[in-house]
Amino acid sequence: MTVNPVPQLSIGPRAKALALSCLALGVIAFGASGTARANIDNFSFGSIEGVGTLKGKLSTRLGTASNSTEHRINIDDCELYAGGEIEVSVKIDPRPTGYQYAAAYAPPGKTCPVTDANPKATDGECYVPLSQRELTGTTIKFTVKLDQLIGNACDSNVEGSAKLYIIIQNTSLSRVQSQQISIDVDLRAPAAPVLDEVVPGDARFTAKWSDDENDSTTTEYVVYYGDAPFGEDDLEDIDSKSGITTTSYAVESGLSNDATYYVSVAARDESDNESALSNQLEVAPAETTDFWEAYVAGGGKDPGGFCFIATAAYGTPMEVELGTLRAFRDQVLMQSDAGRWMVSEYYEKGRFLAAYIADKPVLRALVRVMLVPLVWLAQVVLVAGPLATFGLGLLALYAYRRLRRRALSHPMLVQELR
Amino acid sequence: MARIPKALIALAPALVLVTGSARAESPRTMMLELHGGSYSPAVDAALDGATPWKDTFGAKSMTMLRMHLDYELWQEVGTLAIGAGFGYGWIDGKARDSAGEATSDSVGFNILPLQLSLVYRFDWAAQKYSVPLVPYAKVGLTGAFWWATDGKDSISNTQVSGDAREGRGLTLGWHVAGGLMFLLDIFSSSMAAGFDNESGVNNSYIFAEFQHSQVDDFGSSKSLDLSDNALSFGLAFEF
Repeated sequence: MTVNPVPQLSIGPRAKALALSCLALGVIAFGASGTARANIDNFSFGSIEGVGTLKGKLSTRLGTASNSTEHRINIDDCELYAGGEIEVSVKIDPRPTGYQYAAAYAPPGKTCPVTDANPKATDGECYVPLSQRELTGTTIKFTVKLDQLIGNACDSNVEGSAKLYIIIQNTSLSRVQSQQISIDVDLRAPAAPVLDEVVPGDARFTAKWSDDENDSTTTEYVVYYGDAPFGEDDLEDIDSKSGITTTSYAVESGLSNDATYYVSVAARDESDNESALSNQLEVAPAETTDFWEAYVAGGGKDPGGFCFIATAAYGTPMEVELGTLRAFRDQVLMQSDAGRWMVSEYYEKGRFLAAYIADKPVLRALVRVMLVPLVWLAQVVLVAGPLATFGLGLLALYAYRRLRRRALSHPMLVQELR
Repeated sequence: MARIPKALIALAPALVLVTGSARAESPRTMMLELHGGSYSPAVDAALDGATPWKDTFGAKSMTMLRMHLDYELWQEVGTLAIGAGFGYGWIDGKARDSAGEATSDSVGFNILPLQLSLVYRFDWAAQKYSVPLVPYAKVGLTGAFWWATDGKDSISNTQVSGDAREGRGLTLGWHVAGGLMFLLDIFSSSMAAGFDNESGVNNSYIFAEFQHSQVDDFGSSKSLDLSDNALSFGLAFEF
């Protein structure tokens, strides 16, 4: 709206540009001063500590440590903190000189004025523990009555943000800065989910539930189970699984077959408020047989595990593989002079190697693995015959030579070689 | 048009053939096959009356996906190649209770076969005369890693006479396969030429393959018998 008058001015283009520049600088300066007025320079959150009976008893949800950025009070906290006080400390470092300050707080849905360092206290809306104090140090500490800060009964279902205010003002009253610390007050418990079914398994069960009420992005669930029916008051004494973000969960440890378990589910919101328990269902896990168990029970002889390594490690013979090698020795190698020489050399020198590795399980396992291709080759020779294998070898040699020739004649490769 | 010599017009078809064949193909080096199919190991057949496979998984077959890559060693009357491949097959079933009835415990069996194959493809007619059918055969060795899972989706374990029996292992064997490939390039030779220019893929095929796998540690009676006759289908790219 300040731009419109500009064309009406009888000034040249250069002057017009200068005027627009000044206007822009003015806008920027205004914005900058506005920002400085909103936030206290060099401000940082210090800590929150319990006072009196609450000393050392505050929940970490309240964000008590100096690096905390989230502060939260849930229903349990509300009950724990009833009638209690906390001391809040903040820092302004380095400290500006010639300033006075005020500290105030307001419950959810209420606010305190931040126009000067003397905010007006209003019962139920704004509480002012400190006002118009001279800022002499870098740390400001003030006490907050938690009943006033929470401002609602613990079963009120209220959900909102309480605020702590720090306001500083210079002595000439020309500059006011303030800072807010929000504390989420969540006194609304999530709705209880509905436990649809609990499916038994082998020393396990799977609970499945539905939840149409709570926000699925922020809700977690807790599955409670015990070997007797239980209620809200028994939760500390029974088993549970928490931190579940899906609507089904399999409990797979610590269960016995043929025992009966009672299962309930509760929802937990991001403030750790827990819903009432869902309906309760019972389940009796029972032994089942999977494929491998059925195979073994049906007479399957595969020992399982990686047998040639395990066999080598445990020292029992690899019957099939050894049989193949023995057959290869007898049917192929022993049929020629060269083969007989190889067998003779092997028995003369190989036994030393065998004796050396005999008590070294790892080395034996390694040798067994290395023998696998040899066993395969022996099997091929025994099935296809030596001549066919020789033919295959020649074919492979021919292919290799052709491949090499082709690779060397490839223009790109030749170029690269050069 | 009138100024073009008649002799040149007469030679045009021949020129098209020559130039066409000259730019149509980059060198063929490898074949990549992507298989999808089913697999039913002969576990029960190797047992004396017991049918753990059928009891757990019913009449269903495993789903098997495989990949095979081979290097073409010889390209004269057909192509001879050596290749390797791997696959993954899986099946889910239900554990049984003491009465033999299916329970809600989901259990499974998984197989990861590794194969080394010698391949012969009779693609001479396809290369020479654009006949779109290429029969082929493979033979090679197989090593199949396998594992069975229990209701907790863990490797199944059981004990016999105090000895632990772990439901996983490696079974060796061999395979032989035959198949027929159909050359897709005939549907659009220009698209095929573009594919070759841009990606170096000379030929694209669909195929059906029948494979006999004898995966039982070469006849060992002490091994899980994973043999099967399986049909697979898929796409192949020669590049």
